[in-house]
Amino acid sequence: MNLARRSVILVSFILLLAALLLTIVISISKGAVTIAPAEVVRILLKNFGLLTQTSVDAQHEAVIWAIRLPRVLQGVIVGATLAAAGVVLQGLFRNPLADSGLLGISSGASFFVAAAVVLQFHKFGLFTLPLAAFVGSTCAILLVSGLSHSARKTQVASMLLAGIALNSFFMAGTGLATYFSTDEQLRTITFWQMGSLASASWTSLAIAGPFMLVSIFGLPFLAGSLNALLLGEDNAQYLGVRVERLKWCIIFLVALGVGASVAISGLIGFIGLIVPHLVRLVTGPNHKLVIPGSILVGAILLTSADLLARTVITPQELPIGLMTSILGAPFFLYLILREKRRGLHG
Amino acid sequence: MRLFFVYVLPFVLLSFNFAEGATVQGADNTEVSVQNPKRLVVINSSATETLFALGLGDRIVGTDAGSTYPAVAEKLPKVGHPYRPSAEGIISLKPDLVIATEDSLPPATAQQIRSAKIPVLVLEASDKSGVDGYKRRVRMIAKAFDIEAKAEKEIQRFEEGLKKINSSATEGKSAKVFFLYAHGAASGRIYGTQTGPHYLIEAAGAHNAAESVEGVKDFTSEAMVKMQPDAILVLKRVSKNLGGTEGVLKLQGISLTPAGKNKRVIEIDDSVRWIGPRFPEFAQELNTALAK
Repeated sequence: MNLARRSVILVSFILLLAALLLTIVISISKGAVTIAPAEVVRILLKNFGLLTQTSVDAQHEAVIWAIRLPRVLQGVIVGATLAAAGVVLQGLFRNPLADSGLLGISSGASFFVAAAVVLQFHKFGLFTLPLAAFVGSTCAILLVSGLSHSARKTQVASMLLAGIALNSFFMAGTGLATYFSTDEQLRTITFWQMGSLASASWTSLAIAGPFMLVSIFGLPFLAGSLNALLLGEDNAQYLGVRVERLKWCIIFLVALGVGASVAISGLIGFIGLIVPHLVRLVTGPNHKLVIPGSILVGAILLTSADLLARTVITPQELPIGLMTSILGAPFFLYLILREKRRGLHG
Repeated sequence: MRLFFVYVLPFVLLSFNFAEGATVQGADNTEVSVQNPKRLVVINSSATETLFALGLGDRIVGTDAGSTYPAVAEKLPKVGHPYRPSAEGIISLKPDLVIATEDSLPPATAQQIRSAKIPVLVLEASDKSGVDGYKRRVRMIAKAFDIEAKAEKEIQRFEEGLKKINSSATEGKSAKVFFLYAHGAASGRIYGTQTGPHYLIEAAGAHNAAESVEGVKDFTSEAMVKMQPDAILVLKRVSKNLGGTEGVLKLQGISLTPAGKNKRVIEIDDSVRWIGPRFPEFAQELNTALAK
C-alpha cells in the first residue's frame, strides 16, 4: 500500500470516528422533547457523577437519561454489530448478497417471537420476546451449520442452501402462528417485525449489550484469515488458515451478536447488507479495514436513521426497520447501477 | 377584610384544589396518584370519546392517530399509531396524566413515560367485558378526576339508551348476525365471543352467528355457511373495499346463507370503537336496520 492511499484511509477513519461522535451528540440532543444543549450537558455530567451541585429539570433528566441515551447507545451498538456481521458473512460465503437474513437468523427469530406471542408464553415479562428472538436466531444458525456439516468439513455452498431452506420453513412457521393469532397478537408480531429501538432501556442494554460487544470486538480478529479466504478455501488452508475453525468462530460470533441485536430491536434490514459495500468503495477488499470501517459506518447509519425515524414526524415516530429499508434499498440500487455503468459487472 | 380576600382566600382555595388528589388502581395493577390533571394525553379512540363524554375533552392535549371522534379530537396533536405511540412524543406534550387502554400502550412505553414522572392510567381494553367493562372504565376515570356524580349520570344515560332498544322488534327476523371484517376476497376475520362486534350484536337484540368461536379467528367461507347468518354486518370502509353491498354478497359462500339469499347486508359507521359512549346509538341503529 503506498503512502498516499494509506493517508487517505487514515484520514477517512479519523473522519468516521468524528462523524460517529457528532451523530451521537446530535442524537442525544434532538428529539420530540426539546432540551437546551447546555442542559443536556449538565444532565449527562450529573448522571456520570462529574457534576454534583447542579439542578436540572427532573423530567428532562428522565427523558435524556432513561429514554434517549440508552436508545442512542443501542442504535450505535446494534448498527455496529449488524454491519460487522454482514462483512464477515459476505467474506465467509464470498457472496456480496450474504447477510444475516440469508442464513435464516432473522426468520428464526421471527418464528420464535410469533410462537411465543400466540402461545401466550410470557414467563419473562418484558424480556420474553427478546429471549424468544435470541433463542430463535441461535437455533437457526446452529441448524444451518449442523445441516451443512459433512463428515469432513462445513460446505459453504450447502450452508447457503440450508439457510434458504430454513428461511422458508421459519417463514411458514411464522405464517402459521400469524394465522392462529388474535388481532392483538397479530399487531404485536407485525410491529416486532418492523424493528424499533423505542423500547431501549439500560436493562435491555445491560442484558444484550455484552453479547454484541463480544461480537464487535471479536470479529476484527478474524480479518487476516478472511483475507486469505478470499483466495478460496484450499488456498487459505495452504496459507495456514484453519478454515474449519474460522467458520465456527464466525458462526459463533455472528449468532451471538445478531441474536442479541434482533432480540432487543426486532428486524432491522439493510444495515448488514449495504454497509460493507459502502465501506469497500473506499477501502478496497482488505478485511483489516473493511471490518472496523463497517463497524463505524453501521453505527453512524443506524443512529442517524433512528434520529430521522423519531424526529421527522414528531411527536409520532416511524419504525426504524422501515426507515433503513426505505433509505437503504434505493441507495443500494444506485450503487449497483453505478458499478454497472463502470462496467465492473459485465 | 380586603386583605383577607386578596391574600388569604386565594391560598385557601388553592389548598382545596390540592385536596382533590386521588389514587386509582389501573388495569395493569399500577396505582396512579393524580391531582386534578389539566393536560391529558389519551391513547385509544374509545378512551378519548369517553373523556369527551365526561366533559374532560378540553383538557386533552394529544391523542393517538386513531382518535378522530369527536371532530375536535381529530385536530389535536397526534403521538403515533394507536397501538405503538411514541414515549418521547407523549412526554413532549407535557401531560400531567396519560390515559391509555392496556391493548394500546406497550408495557415498555408505559414504563418509559413513568420514568419521566408522568402518571399513566391504564384502562381495560375497549372491547373487554362489554358493558361492564365500559362502566368500570368510566368509574376509573371519574375517580381520578373526582367527578363520580357525573360518571354515574353518564352510566345512567348509557344504560337507558340500551334499555330503549326494543329487542322484540328483531325477534325471528334476523336472529343471527355475522360481523364480517375483510380487506378482500380471501382475508376475512371472524369475530366470536368477547369481541366488540359480539357485544354490539347482543345489545341490538340479536345473536352473534359466530358465538361458537372465542375471540378473533381467520375467516373461511365454509364456516360462514355452517353458521347460517340471517344478516351480515360490515363496517362502511370494509363494504367499500369489497365493492359495496353487491361486492359483499359476491363473497364466496354468502349466497348459501339466509343473509345472502335475502341480500341482508347492514353497514355500520367506521367510527364505532366497540364499547364507547356511542355504543347504545350504534346498537339502536343496528336494531332498527334488523327490524326492517
